[in-house]
Amino acid sequence: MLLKFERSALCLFFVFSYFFLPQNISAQNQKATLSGYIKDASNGEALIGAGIFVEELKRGATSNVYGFYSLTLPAGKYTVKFLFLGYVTETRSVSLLENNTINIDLAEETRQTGEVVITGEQKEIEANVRSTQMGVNKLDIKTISKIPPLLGEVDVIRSIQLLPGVSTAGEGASGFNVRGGSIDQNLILLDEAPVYNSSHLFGFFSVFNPDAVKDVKLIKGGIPAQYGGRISSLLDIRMKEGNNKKFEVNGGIGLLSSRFAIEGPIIKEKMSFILAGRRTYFDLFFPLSTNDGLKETIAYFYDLTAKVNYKINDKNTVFASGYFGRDQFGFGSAFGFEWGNGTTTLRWNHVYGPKLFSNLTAFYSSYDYALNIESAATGDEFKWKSTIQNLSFKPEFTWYANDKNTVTFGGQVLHYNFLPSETTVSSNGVKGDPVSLPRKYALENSIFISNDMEISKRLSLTYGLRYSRFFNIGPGTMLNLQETTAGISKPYTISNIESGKIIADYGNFEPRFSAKYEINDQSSLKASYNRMAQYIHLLSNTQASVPLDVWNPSSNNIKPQIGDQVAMGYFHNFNWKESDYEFSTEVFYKIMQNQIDYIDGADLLRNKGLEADLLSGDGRAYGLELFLKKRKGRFNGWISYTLSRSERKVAGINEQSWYPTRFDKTHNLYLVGNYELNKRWSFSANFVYSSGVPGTFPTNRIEYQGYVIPHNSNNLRNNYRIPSYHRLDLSATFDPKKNENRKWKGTWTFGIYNVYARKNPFGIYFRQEPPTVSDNPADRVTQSTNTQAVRFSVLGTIVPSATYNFSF
Amino acid sequence: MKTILKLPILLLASLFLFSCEEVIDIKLDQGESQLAVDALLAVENGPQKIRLTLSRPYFENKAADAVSGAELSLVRKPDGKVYSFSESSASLGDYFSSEALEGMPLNEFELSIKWNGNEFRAVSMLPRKQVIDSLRQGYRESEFGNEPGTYLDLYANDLQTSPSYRLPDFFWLRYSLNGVKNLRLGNILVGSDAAFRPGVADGLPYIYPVRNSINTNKPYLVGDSIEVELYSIDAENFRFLTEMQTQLTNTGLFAQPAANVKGNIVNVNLNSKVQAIGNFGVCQLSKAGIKVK
Repeated sequence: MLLKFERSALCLFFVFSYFFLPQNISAQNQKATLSGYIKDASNGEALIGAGIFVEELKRGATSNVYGFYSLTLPAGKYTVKFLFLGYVTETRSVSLLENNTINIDLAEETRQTGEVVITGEQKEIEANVRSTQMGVNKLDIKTISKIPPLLGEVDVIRSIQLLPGVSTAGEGASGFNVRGGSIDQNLILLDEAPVYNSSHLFGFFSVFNPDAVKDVKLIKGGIPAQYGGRISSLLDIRMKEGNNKKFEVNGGIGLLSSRFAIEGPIIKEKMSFILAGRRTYFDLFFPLSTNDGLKETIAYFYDLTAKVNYKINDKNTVFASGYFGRDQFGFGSAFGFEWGNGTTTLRWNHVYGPKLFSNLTAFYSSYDYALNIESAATGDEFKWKSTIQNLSFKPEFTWYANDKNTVTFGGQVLHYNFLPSETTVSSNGVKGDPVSLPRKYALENSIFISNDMEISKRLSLTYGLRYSRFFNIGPGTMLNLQETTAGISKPYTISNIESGKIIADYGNFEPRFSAKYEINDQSSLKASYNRMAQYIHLLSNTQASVPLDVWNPSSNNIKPQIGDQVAMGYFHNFNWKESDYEFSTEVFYKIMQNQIDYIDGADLLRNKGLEADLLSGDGRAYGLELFLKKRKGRFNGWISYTLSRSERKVAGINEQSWYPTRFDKTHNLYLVGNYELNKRWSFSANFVYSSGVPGTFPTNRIEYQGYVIPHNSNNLRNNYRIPSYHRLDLSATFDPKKNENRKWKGTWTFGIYNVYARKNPFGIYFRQEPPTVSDNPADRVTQSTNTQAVRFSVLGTIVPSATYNFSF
Repeated sequence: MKTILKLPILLLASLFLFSCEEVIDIKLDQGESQLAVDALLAVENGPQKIRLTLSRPYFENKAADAVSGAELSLVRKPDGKVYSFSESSASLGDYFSSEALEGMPLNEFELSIKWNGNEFRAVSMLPRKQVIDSLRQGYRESEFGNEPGTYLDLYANDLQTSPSYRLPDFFWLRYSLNGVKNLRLGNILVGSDAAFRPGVADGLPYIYPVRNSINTNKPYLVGDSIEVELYSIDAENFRFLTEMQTQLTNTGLFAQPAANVKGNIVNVNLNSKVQAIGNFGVCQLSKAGIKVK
């Protein structure tokens, strides 16, 4: 079976090679390749997406995520410019008679308020108009750190939520939704390893420590063939490599947490490391509280990020990176609840020659949670844990075939080990037998090949194919479901599957295509199509996903999710009143198959018959995105607007007609602005407006044993909308700048979240008036059968913060 | 799951003193009135009462319209024994059986309701009986943010699953304080096999959160009289009550999408658009009381 897989991989490769190889070989003789790495001169960090521009030919290229570039040109003498936004351009005269390697270090521009301009060359290589890729938003850590923080925490996911096509189910909800997809349809990669729960503190903060993050890239459409496994988006987060020139310490002291990061060379210019940690500490004040309940409360999170890289020589660099984070909650020794992610990534970059770059990645990723209730005095104990573990090997190659084609190819083997739940119970001194749901094992293999092809100066294409194959493998159990009326739990029998036997086997061809046509130097049209397959699913039927939600593999009953998306866009860069602007608009239409929904009242945790409670249906999402960004200058920022719809159709729900998903928002408007008043003060603001999410409201009431139960007589799902959401945040950064030459640099950031204290509804709920309990013996309990509607706001008030950031 | 999550959610709420709930005015759509059945029949109660009403607009806070003139009958399926019901003239919509309900564990009962040209049926199985062992009072220091004082513990032992009774032991625990059934919403407690879900703690003493469930976060006062009822219910009734619990306690960040609570009452004419809501169940009832000293 695996052989079959390998065979189809090889076939695929040859079929692809056939299409473009012959025509290219003939043209190769009189050409030479310029290649190398582009790095930051101050710390040796690879610059991602830096530009190489050849004056004479008006041709350019960009560096990859490891800073590597390769450009094949007719042999000759050239003036080559190396450039990166915010950095001083380096110009070299290159005599390119044979292959040549040039490694370049670019120096950051010295900060002179308002003087930074975008050069003509930079415009030439600008991704917005030039790149074939669409549906992409990049945020560097500098931009992210300017966005007004919540409780002083600079946050990657919160920043992502200000981009077009991205929204959230509500304040404090874990994860994010991209173009009408659910949160589990985003592949979140931290140095190539997937992160299964991106949230700290139930969803208020993300797990990424900003001190260790270098670059964040979100791809919403036209997803390249090297990525797969989720149908809506890819969030690619790259960690810093660590300063390889000198030691550097960064940190911050905030209301919620403190951060500390140290980086520096181990062997100068060759080997460096970064170690970054963060911990919240409000819990340290609990013991001082006069509230007895709070005294014993445990509530904190921490994370540690570490990375080492070693440049063995010009051709070989190895990286080892790791992340470990945990959230801990509890009361004394009686109750504990914790969860966390861990990832380890090993990578080896190898340059076979000026035209062939490879990266081999091996990673381990895990997510687990544990719940613990214990009382030694009464002999009670309840322990519950669940884990998901991943082991993967992923070779990837980039072949800069010639001046017209860049081929990327590779594959991935991904092994899953799921422990849905393991419980042990002791009650009143009597110990019960441990009860576990059997482990589940799966293998997800894929191969891909993709070509970036320049057809003419104006027209370029990226086309590729990914083939993915998924096996759900024994030992385990298989649920045999019987058909019944749609919408109720299906009767089932369970069969045991031996080790190595296949429970389910799915294969999918996933074509990817995007095209760019440049109308002129300032504007282009792009179109893309991608098919994505997703084999693992986060089962969650709560408004906001909880840390207890369990990832489940596809099985004989759960089919892989398939997403098809077409998108078109217009991209335009322009200059207005001597400022540079970047504009883009995209429309998308997405069809999603095998979307999971749940029967009413489904029990998703510790349920051996879980699959019997699942429903499968279709999803569709479509929308329009507008994005205008002012890139530089004292005042910069962006406006993002999305008009969209996200719907489901599931047999057994809503009389099988389309209904909006629980995160569907018609309008999303985000404004982000930064203003640098002078060298000491800078200000930022963001404003968020979004339509209310749908909710299911009752029409009627009935009484059962004294309880008032709401009832919707039409049985329609999501028939109402809660009021819209809007919020303004402000922040100010003060840089005392006492002495330019002093090593210690400190800045203050003051933030106000939800400036006008709007009580934004997270949801509207319906309930029976709660009974009142008094101490008057004659009138202890008063009962009511009156009903009321309740608006729940997560952060219904103004939240100020102050943070002191330092570096030395 | 809800019950387990309550604590962390409480914690989170206490951490972020920013979240808030506010009663608001809202206008809802009108819905059609439907037959609503409230029938939980415990063999220990002797003669039985079934109440039939019409569902009414959600915010209509007055007594429900009674469904009068329906024909009810209950059949004990193994032997075909029929219990007849007749409507009370004093309180319309209340239907009483003339004789005491009797049955053995695993006996199925079928209820038939004929009304307005439609016939509805529902089936329920009599489970075996779980018994309250004792109620004990004790002084507790402050914990989990509760005030210190007198609290109660309920002791009961789950019956082990055996070859003669392979089903989980589902239960519903209710209690009243000084004669008023305490409907504190968070306290709707449905469970199974000594815990919240089947199979986890089969045959064990009821686990701590269940033992502790007859308390609020305020201590009892001297002289308080507490009556506890432990209903042994069947799987369908458990599902109905679990869904009811979810819908009635559905708030906050981790609320589940609102949905109708599905009962077991079915129109005999499967194609009919006329449906009934509510639930029918037969059960066994164990009671215990305590007066706080």
